[in-house]
Amino acid sequence: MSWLINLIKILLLKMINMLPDDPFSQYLAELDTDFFAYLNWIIPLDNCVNITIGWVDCMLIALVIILIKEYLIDKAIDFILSLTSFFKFLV
Amino acid sequence: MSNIFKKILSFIMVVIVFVSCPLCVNASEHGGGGGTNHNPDFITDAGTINIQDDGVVMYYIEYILSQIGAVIVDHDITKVMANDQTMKEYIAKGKFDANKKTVEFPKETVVYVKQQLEQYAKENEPYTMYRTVPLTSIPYTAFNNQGNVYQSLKNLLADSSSGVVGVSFVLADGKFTFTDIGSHFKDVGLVKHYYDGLGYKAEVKAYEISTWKHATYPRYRFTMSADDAAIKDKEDFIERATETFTSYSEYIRFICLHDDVSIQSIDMNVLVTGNQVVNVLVSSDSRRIRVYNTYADFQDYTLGKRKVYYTSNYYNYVPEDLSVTIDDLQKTVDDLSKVIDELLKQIQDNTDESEIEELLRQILEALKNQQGGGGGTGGGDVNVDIDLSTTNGLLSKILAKVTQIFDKMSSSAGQTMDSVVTAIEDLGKMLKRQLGIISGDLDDIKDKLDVISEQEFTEKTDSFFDSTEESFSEISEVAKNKFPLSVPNDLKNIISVFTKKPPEPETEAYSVKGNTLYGMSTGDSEIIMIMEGSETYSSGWSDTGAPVFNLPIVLESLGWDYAIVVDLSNFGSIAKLCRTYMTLVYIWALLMLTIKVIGLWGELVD
Repeated sequence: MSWLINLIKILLLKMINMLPDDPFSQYLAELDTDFFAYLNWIIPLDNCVNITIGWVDCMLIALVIILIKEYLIDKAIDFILSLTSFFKFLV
Repeated sequence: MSNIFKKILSFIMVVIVFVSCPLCVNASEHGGGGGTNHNPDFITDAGTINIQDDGVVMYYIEYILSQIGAVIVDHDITKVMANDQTMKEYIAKGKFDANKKTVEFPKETVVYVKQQLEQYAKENEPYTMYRTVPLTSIPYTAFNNQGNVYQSLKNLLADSSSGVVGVSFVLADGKFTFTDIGSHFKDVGLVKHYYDGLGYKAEVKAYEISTWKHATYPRYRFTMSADDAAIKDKEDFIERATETFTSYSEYIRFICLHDDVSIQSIDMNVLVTGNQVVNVLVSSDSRRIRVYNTYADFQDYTLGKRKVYYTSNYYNYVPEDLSVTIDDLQKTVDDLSKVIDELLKQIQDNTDESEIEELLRQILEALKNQQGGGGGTGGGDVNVDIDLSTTNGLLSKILAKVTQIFDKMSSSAGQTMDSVVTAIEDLGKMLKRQLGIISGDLDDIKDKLDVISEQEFTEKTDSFFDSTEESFSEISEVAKNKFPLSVPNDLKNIISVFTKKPPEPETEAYSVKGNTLYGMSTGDSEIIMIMEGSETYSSGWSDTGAPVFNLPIVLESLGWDYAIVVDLSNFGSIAKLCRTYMTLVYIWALLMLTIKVIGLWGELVD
């Protein structure tokens, strides 16, 4: 089985190596970003970024739940209510 | 006008009634209630076969016999058979399908009808059909173990116009007697003659059909040794014959050993023992011949008083269920008399029995085809072109042409097709082989999984996933540096820039050294200082975790080497307060935003 994994790995590496190099990493590495530490001593940008990342994750999960609620649970509730009204009619 | 119409109509109906009366009378001999609608008479109101009416039963019997291959001329035969209660019970086993208007007779009914006919024939027919001896059934010992004798007989058979020769063998001294009865076979009627002398059970005598006299033929004898060449034909035999006889009437004795005078299975080993001389009728295809029971029967037959005709299918008929519509059944039986008339026109006194059988078969086939294909032409004259040689020749040419065309097509495309087919077959074999290997591997895996423990399984899967992860981590490392797969990594790097934290207060990044020329303080420590020796100071963090900035002032021309150091340690608490407050404000803002966004989503989804 390992030969299969190695084979896949080699194939993927070959394919990826055909892509061009990243143009941004070089410049990002050369940036002097030490002063952001000084800035963060007064303005908590580090905390804000971390909070924002967490908030985005939570919002995505909330969106999925909203969609599930709308297209499954609401439909089921409508169906149950329709049955209830039908039985009421019979009675 | 309407009165004239009514009169004409009445007149027509009267004519129809009077004309149909004789037809009704004629039809009642076979059964049926007269008129043109026989169906109700064949089937009762309850939907069963009508066996109460003997005429109807006769219809059924004659139809079944015609399908077996026997055509009844003398209806007294079927009348006797129809009168039999057991026969009626068998006929009653037929089932009528009201939807299809068909009657189906089971195999047992067909078998019984055939048996009854054979029984009748045995008791009442003037002759019995026997098979001649097929050449292939004669044991080699009868030929004195000489191949040239066998070959000679084979050649004589081929030369015979009727396909039948009369021969005798003497085992002891290799005598081979040949009688050219074959060419005169059509002129001869064979009659059983019981002869008790010499230990024979019975024999057959030949009589000339035209004169009713005993038939006489020349016979030739030749003693063949093992070195002699085989006889090529009749002329060669006559030329090489060492003895020539004029046969007496008693000569034509074809010995039958069985009590029932059957020639069907002569035991040649018994015949050719010792010096016994016997004559046998030999043919290449064991065809049947008539052997009359008595001389009087032979005479009657020659006067055309035959009661039953058989087709060549009769003797080889394999019983099976018969299904027919009522209309076809009636039509077939009604046409059988015409079939016999047609047959009698075709045959002559010297027509071979096998030829009669074949003729009748062809006539019946033609009748069947007429009924099946014509539909509305039933009841007409039966005209059959017995001479099918032209048709056969034409069909043979067509067949040859089609075969030629097909061969041409297949030869040009056949190779391609063959190669394609071969390739497909090879591919199929290869796939089968590979699938076999794979399924074998799967079986091995399954067997191993069956014996493996849970801990081993966990270890193996963990190691597997670890190795897989390690393999694919190399891929991720490479992918990080390749555009556009590196975009997420770049975004992460940008965001991480903003997340650089200030060091903890315990970390000592800076310590003031040197002389302080000037200082401005707000408390315990000084905020702005002018220090001597710029090289000894650098920007960093104070021991309280506050930033310290170093601004060097160096003028070599004036000899200035100073550094202005700004230390924000005294503002540590203010910075902490600022950070906390801004974090809280930011969180609050996100909360407000969350409410708005979710509300907006809700509206969008609705």
